[in-house]
Amino acid sequence: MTAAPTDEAVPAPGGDAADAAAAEELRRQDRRALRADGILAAVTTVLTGIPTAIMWVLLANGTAFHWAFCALVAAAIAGAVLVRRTHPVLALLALTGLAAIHVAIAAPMFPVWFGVLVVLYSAGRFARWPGRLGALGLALVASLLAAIWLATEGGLAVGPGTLPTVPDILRLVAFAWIPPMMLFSIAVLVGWGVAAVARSEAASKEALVSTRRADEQEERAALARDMHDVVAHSLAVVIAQANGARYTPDPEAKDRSLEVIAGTAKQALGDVRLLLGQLRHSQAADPVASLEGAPALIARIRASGLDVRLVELGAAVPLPRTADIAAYRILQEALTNALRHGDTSQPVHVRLQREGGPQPGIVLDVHNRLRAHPGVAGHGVRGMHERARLAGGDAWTGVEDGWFRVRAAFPASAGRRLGR
Amino acid sequence: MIRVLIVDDQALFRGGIRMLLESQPDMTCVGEAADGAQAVRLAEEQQPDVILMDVRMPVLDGIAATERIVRARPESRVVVLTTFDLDEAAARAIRAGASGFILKDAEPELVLAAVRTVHAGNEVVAASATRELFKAFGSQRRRIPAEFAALTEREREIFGLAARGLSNTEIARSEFVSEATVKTHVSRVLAKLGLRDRVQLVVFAYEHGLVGDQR
Repeated sequence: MTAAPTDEAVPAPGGDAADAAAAEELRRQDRRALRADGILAAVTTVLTGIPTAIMWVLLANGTAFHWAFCALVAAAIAGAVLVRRTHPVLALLALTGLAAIHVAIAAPMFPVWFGVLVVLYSAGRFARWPGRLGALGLALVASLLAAIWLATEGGLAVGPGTLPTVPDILRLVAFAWIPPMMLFSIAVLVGWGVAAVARSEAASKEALVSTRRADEQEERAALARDMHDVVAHSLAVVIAQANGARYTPDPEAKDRSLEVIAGTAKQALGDVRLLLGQLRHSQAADPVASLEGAPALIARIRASGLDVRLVELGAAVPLPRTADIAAYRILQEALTNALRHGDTSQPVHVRLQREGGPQPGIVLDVHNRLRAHPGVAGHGVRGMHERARLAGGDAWTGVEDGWFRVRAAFPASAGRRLGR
Repeated sequence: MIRVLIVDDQALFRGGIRMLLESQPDMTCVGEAADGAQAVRLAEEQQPDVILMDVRMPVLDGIAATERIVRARPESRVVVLTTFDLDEAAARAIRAGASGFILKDAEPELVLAAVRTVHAGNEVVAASATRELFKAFGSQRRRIPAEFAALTEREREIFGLAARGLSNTEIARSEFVSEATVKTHVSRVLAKLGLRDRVQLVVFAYEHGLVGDQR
């Protein structure tokens, strides 16, 4: 209820248009992700390149083969980062394979582990179930192999030829196996968790889209009903008058009928044009959309637990049928919004002021207390503006001191009224 | 003279129907009401024979108004005016006591015939349309009430024919009896089943699956 509504007429997007918009949004997200990965790949290359260069300078004991291998690993890390979203398992296998070779030949390329962490995270984030479980298994096995390698080749635990004691093995497990395993597993699990959050966000976004679509359907149904209201009432008059004129012996009555028929048809055509322009509004099923039904509508809303207080001022003024429908629908939308998004423990105030004088008309004013955390903005707000404008009136919606306020004004019908 | 009350929330619609009714030598319009509450009041004051009743109206709708008018004065005959062929509101109005329904855009001859028919009370207005209506919105209660068993063989035959919407004349012709006999049988059937008129008989038959030939 807090989004600023605009007052231009926006045609209701159909399902196809909404799908196209969703596809466009997806493409935009893809482009953003690719850019982010490009930056990440560059950063990774720099991060792995600088220490490599430093070690080159400091140690200078690597063979040419070693350094060529290091360059390959640096390029592979950048490549893995670039394809991690689309081919997470491939990226993971490539980098861990390289890391294993790197360990086996003892190249001075320890930053490769940074890349391994990134692809482990990516496997958790972007791979399917087998990929994720595989990544976890890999974290387990690789860290175990590394620990064994450290224990035997690195001579961390026991001297060659002697059997390790139980405390030796425990020490190995605690210091050489568990820490890297934890690090690797956590990378996978964090990715997994992020994927779950993203999925639930996507699901709620989808739910929002489908709610909006259902609302649009309802709007169309409401429009069709209003259209029928106007057309059926006018045509019933035309038919009754035409038949009456055919049967009555009074020539003056015949003339009057013809005049009424022409006037009714003309007004119906005008009303139909107005309604056709009106594509955004919402409502519940209601037999008669008219301000005369306002007390009944308020009684229904009260029955659902909202304290609605109605104040009516002034004597009745004749409203054009379209304005009458629009005013009723705006009241209905405002009350429904108050029920859905407002603070339902506070009363909702409805004021219906009918004005005579030189500029006769009605002013409808609804305000309800906002909830501390207002929910999603009702698109019906825009419908209210359009509705009011198309029926020759004006609407204003907004927040004032924690109250959500809807105000709509309609001029009375000019001259003689035909039809309802 | 058939005294008719016109109930509709559109003054110009009432005007047209009034012109039509007043052009007939045997009909007179005794009043116009713009909503159900006015209709109830006018029906009490003017004691009309036939009430042409719109369904959707402010203040009090046509269904509730029909119910009150028929309860206060059972000899009143209500004809419901609807916009749609299959209007659930029309079905509800008939259950509330209306004697039939016609479309608002019906031919004037049909409107006049409907007024005369319900006034005479020996025929059902648009019998097949009424059956279609209850096919669409009626609830099929299969359990046949005990009252039906109280009908004689002859009365059941007459019931079956009347349930198909046949008039007294038609029943008399097909059964080779006099119209007066048919009339006696029909009123006895209505009395035994506790029904107020022939349209109620059609509805009763349909809802209890007692019409073999639905067409």
